[in-house]
Amino acid sequence: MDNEIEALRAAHELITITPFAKWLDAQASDDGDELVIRVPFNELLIGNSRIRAIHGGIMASILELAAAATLAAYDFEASRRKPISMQINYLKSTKDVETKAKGIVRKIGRRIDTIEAIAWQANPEKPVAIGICDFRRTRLKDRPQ
Amino acid sequence: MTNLPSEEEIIRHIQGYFSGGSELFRHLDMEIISVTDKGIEARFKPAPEHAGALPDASPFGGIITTILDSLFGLAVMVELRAPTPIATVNLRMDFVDTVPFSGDLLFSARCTGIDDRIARTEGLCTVQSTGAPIARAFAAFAVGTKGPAFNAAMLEEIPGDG
Repeated sequence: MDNEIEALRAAHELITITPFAKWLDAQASDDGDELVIRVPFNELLIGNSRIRAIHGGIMASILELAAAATLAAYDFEASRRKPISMQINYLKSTKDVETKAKGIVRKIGRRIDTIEAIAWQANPEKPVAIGICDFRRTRLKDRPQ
Repeated sequence: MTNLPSEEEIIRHIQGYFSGGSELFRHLDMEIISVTDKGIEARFKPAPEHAGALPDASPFGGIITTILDSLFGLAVMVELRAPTPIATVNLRMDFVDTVPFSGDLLFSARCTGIDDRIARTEGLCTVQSTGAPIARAFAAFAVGTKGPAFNAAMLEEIPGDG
């Protein structure tokens, strides 16, 4: 239980220190036993006004954020990560509703961590997009002062 | 036979699309520099709300992805030169380096070909002042999908305009 609380705290902290996550109005929540990132619908997120679909780049941003939050929650020590690559597959058209995303840790390496991210809207069984994100670890001493 | 819009007409309408097409594009305030058969170039100045995790203060990766994805769609539109429904199949981003908020970023995107109703694109984001690469991207689009054309609103206004 303590670990779950600490994981949620780490995800909250990541959102708090990430201006773009705050711009998205992203929130971290503990849905059962998994960390979920929720992004409420906002007109600013629309990419195609004709079909009221969320912009593909915004979907990628939500996946990236879910992956980063999952990684922060998994290993909430001080080291930080930078994304080095991301592959996104778009599976379904999106709608102008809340989007949720979660991450699954696929690899924790000495230098590279790999997280799979899944985004959905109404039905978690029907994801709208999935992504594989690779992060490079940045040691504290490498951080800018 | 439909009269195809000229490059000047397309760039004017793309600029109009980005300045008034949606709240997101108005927020991003990209400047389209050129549109040619070789691709699209655009300039973007990240705002503080586009930053990734502090204290690094470099742009969040997704904001760069958002711009490149937008330009990819337009590059395919320019290649097609007609209202055609398209949908992003996949997108690959490689983040080469991170930069502080020190100036404008330049983006280039082009459609490398359309084969069997799949359009392929590639793009690059660099620092304008140094030319240093920030990110590279590749994407595939399905052409002729169901639904309204992404570029219809823009292109259907061109005949008779001005």
